[in-house]
Amino acid sequence: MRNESTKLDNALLLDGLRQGDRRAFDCIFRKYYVDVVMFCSQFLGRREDCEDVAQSVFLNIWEQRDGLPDISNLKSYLIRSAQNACLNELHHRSIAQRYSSEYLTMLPYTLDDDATRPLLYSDLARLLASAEATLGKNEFEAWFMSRHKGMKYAEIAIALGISVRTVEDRIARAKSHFRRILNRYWSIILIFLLSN
Amino acid sequence: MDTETYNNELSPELDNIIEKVLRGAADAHETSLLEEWVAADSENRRIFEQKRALFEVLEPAFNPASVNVELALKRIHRKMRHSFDLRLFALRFAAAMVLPLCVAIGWLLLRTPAEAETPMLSISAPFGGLLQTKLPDGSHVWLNSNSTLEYPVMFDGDQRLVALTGEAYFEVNADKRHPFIVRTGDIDVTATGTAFNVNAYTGSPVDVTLVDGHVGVNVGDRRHFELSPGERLCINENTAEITHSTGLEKWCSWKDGKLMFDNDRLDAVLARISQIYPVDFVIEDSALANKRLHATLCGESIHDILHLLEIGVPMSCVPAQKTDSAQRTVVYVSAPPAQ
Repeated sequence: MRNESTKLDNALLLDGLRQGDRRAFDCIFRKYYVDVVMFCSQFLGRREDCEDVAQSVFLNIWEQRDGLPDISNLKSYLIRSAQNACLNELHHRSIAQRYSSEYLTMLPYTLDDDATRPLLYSDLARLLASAEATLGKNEFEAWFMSRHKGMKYAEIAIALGISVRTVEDRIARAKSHFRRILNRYWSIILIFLLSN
Repeated sequence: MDTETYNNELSPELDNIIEKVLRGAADAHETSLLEEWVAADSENRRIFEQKRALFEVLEPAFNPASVNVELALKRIHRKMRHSFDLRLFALRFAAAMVLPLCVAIGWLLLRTPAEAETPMLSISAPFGGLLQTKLPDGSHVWLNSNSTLEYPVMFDGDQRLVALTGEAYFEVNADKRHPFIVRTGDIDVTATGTAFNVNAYTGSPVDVTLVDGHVGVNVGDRRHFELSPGERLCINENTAEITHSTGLEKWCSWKDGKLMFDNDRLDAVLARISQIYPVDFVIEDSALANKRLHATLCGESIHDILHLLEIGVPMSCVPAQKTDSAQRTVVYVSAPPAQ
C-alpha cells in the first residue's frame, strides 16, 4: 500500500514539476534532499561538497523540467544523477590534484546500471529507528543525543555527567547492537524495504 | 538463516578488508581483492551491499542531523529566482538600452568627424637615411634622417594636420578650403598649396624655408609671420628672424640626398651633421668653431664624412668610448696635432 501511494505521490509530484509548480518541487526536495546528500557522502566525504552536488541535482531537475525524460522512478533518477555528479566531481578533483583516476575504481559500490532500487539513507535510518527501541537505556540516551540531536561526544559527556570515554563506549555498544540485529534480520529487512 | 551463517563464515581478513574499503582506508591491493571477491558471486555482492548499507547508516561521513533541509531549500529558491530573473533582467536591460542606443547612434551619425577620431599613421626615417611618401591628399613629403611625421589615414576634418619632429620638405597639393598645417611643438606652419621645408629637430632652432607659394607661421598664439618665396624664418627660443636668401637649394637639397654647405661655420656644419647622424660634437677649440667651409656631401657614411672633415678643415676627431646604453656617439673635435 505504502509503495503504491509513494509511486502515486511521485507521479503527481513529477506532473506538478513538469508544469512548473514550485510546491511540487519543494515537496520533492524535502522528501529526498537528505537521501541524496547522504548518498553523495559515500563519494565526497565533506558535507559542504555533498550538499553542493545534491543542490545541483535538484536545481537541474527544476531547470530541465520541460525536457525531463520519462521518469518511472523518481528516487532512482535522483540517485543516478547524484552518482554521475559525484563521479564527475571526483574526476575533476583527480585532474586538479593530479591523482590517478584509479581512485575512481576504489569505489566498488557504484550503482549498477540495473540497480532498480537503491537503499536510501532514509530507508536504512527508518530501520535503525525501529531497532533503537531494543537498545538499553544508557546506550539509547547517548545514541539519541549523538545521532538525532547532532551533539558532539564532549557535549553529551557534559549533559550526562559522564566521561567522553564512556560516551564513546556507549555509542560503540549501540552500533554493535544495531549491527547484530540488522544483520540477523537482513533478509526480512529487505522484504520490508522492497514493499515500501 | 543461511545468510547469517554465511556472514559468520566470512574470514576475519575479508571482514577487515571490507571495513577498510568502506572507511576509504584500503590500499589499491586490498580494493582490487575485494572487487574480485564481490564480482565472483552474486551472493558476495549481496553481502557486501548489506555491509555497505549498514556502514552507511551507522558510520556516516557526517551527521545527517547537520544537514539543514530548509536552509538548502532557501538557497535553491534563490538560485531558481536568479535564473528566472535573468531572463526578465535581459528584457529590462534591452528595453532600457533602446533610448540611449538611439541617442548614441544619432550622435554618431550627426556629429562632424574630428581629427582625433581618425587613426594616425607615423613614419620615421632612420639616421643617415631619408624617405619620401605621399600623404592621403596626394601631397608629397620628404622626410630627413632621424625624423618622424604623424598624419591621419584620411584628412576628413576642416584642415590637413600633420605633426613633425625633425626635418621634412613638403610639396602640398592646393586646396584653399582645407589648409595644410605642419605642427611642431607650439609652432604651426599653415599652407594651402606650396613647397616648403621645415627643420624642427629637437634642441635646434626651428626654421621654415619657403620655396614656392605662401605660408603663414604661428608661434604659440603670440606671434604670426607670413613668408614669401625665397624667405627663410629661423625661430629661436626668444627670437625669430626672417632672412631673404637666394640659395634655397642649400636648405632643401637634402631631399635629393645632398648636404650642402656654403661658407658655413664649422659649428653649424657639425650641428647639421648631428641632425642627420647619431653623432654629437664637442668642439674643444673655439677658434676651430669659427672656421668656414664649403662642402657637398652625397650620402657618405659618417666615418667618411669625419675623415673628409679631418683632412679638409683640418682638425682631429676623437670618438668617446661608447657606453652600451647610449645611442649616440660623442666626438671630440680639436685642432690637429702640430706637424
